[in-house]
Amino acid sequence: MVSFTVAGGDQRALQVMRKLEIGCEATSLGGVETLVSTPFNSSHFSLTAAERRAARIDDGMVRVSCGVEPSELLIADFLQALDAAG
Amino acid sequence: MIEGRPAQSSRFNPPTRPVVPPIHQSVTYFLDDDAYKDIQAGGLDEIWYSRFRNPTVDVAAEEIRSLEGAAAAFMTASGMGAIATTILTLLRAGDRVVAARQVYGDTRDLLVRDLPAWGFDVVQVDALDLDAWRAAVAAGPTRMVYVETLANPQLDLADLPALAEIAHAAGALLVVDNTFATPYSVQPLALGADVVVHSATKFLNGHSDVIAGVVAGRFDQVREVQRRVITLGTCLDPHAACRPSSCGCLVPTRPRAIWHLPLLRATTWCGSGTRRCPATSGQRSPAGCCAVTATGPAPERWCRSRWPAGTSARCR
Repeated sequence: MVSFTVAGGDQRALQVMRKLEIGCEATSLGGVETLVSTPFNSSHFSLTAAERRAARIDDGMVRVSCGVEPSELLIADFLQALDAAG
Repeated sequence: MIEGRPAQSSRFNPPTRPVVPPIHQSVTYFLDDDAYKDIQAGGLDEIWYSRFRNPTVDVAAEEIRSLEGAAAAFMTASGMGAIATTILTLLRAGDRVVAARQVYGDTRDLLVRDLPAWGFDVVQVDALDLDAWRAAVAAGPTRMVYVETLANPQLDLADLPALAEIAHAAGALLVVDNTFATPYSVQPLALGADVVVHSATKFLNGHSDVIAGVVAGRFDQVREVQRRVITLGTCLDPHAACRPSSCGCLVPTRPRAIWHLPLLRATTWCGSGTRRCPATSGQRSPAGCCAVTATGPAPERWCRSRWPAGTSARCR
C-alpha cells in the first residue's frame, strides 16, 4: 500500500488517477492488480472535508494498492500520469 | 410424468480423499443424536445448518486462525460483517469505545453514526498520539479500544504493544483491524490485542474476487462472536470461502506460494516506499509529490516488514 498527496488538491488527484494506464481506478485493495482510489470521493466519502483533515486525509491524497505488475512499469505509469495531469 | 425424490448425498456419496477442500453447498445436514445435543447447547460445535457452521467455511477459518496465531477464528460475510459482529458481541448498552480517528470510512460510519444511535458512547483520537489515547481511555470507563494496524488510507502505523497496555490497564479490550498490515507483517494477538478482524476480501484473498471477513482471537470470545453471526446472519457463503475456478477462491485453495505473492509484493513495496516517495528518490520531483514525513511509532521491534523507525508510510 502507498498513499501520497499531490499538489493541487483532490481535483488534481482525480486527474492524475485518470491518466494512469496500468493502475485501475477502483476501490478495494490487496489484489494482484494495482488499484488506485482517491479517498475523498470513495472510501472516505462520508467524512466532511474538516473531518478528513482531522483524520489526516490530506486534500489531494491518492491511495494505491500495488499489484504484481513489474515495479518499473508502475513507477513509469505514475510518473507519466503526474506529468500528463499538468 | 416421472415421479421421484430429490437426490440426497448420502445415497451416492462415495468416500473420497480430496486434495482441495470441497465446497459443501448443502444448507442442511442429516440430524443425529450429536446434532440434537448440539442444538440444545447453542449449536456452535456440530454441523447441521450452514448459517451456524459449514465445513468449507471452517477450512478458511482454520487457515486464517493459523496465520494470525489465534486460538480460534470464525469467518463472516464481509470485513464490515466481522467488525460489526465483533463490536455488537463485545459491547453492552452504555459501553464506551475509544477508537482511532484514522479508520476506513464505513468503519467510521459504524463508530460515529450508528453506535451512538444504538446507545454506545464513542470517542475518536489520533491513532499516533499515545497521550491522546491515554487521556481518552482515562476519561471514562472504557470497554473497547479500536484501531487499524495500518490505517486506511493514511497508512499510519499504530503502536499496538503500547495500545494493548493502555487498554488492558483500564480493563478494556483491544480490537485491531489487521486488513492492511496482514499477518505476514504483524500478528496483533502476539502483541497484546484481544481480537483481530479482517476484511478477508483484501490481501487474505488477494484476487479481488471474493467478499469475506474473519474474526480471530481467544476461543471464548470467538465463540461469543459465533453466537452473533448466527443471530445477525453475517455468515460466509461456502462458495465465497472456496470457489473452484482458478481465479476465485479464498485462502484454503490457493497454494501458499501464490497466496504469498501479493502479500510479499505489498509489504516489500511498503518497506521501500516509506522514507521517500519512489517517484522522487534521487531522480526528479514531479509536482506535488515529495518526501515522507516521520510521524509514527517505532515498529521495527515487532513489524516484519522493515518499516524504518519513526516513520509512517505517508508520502507528502
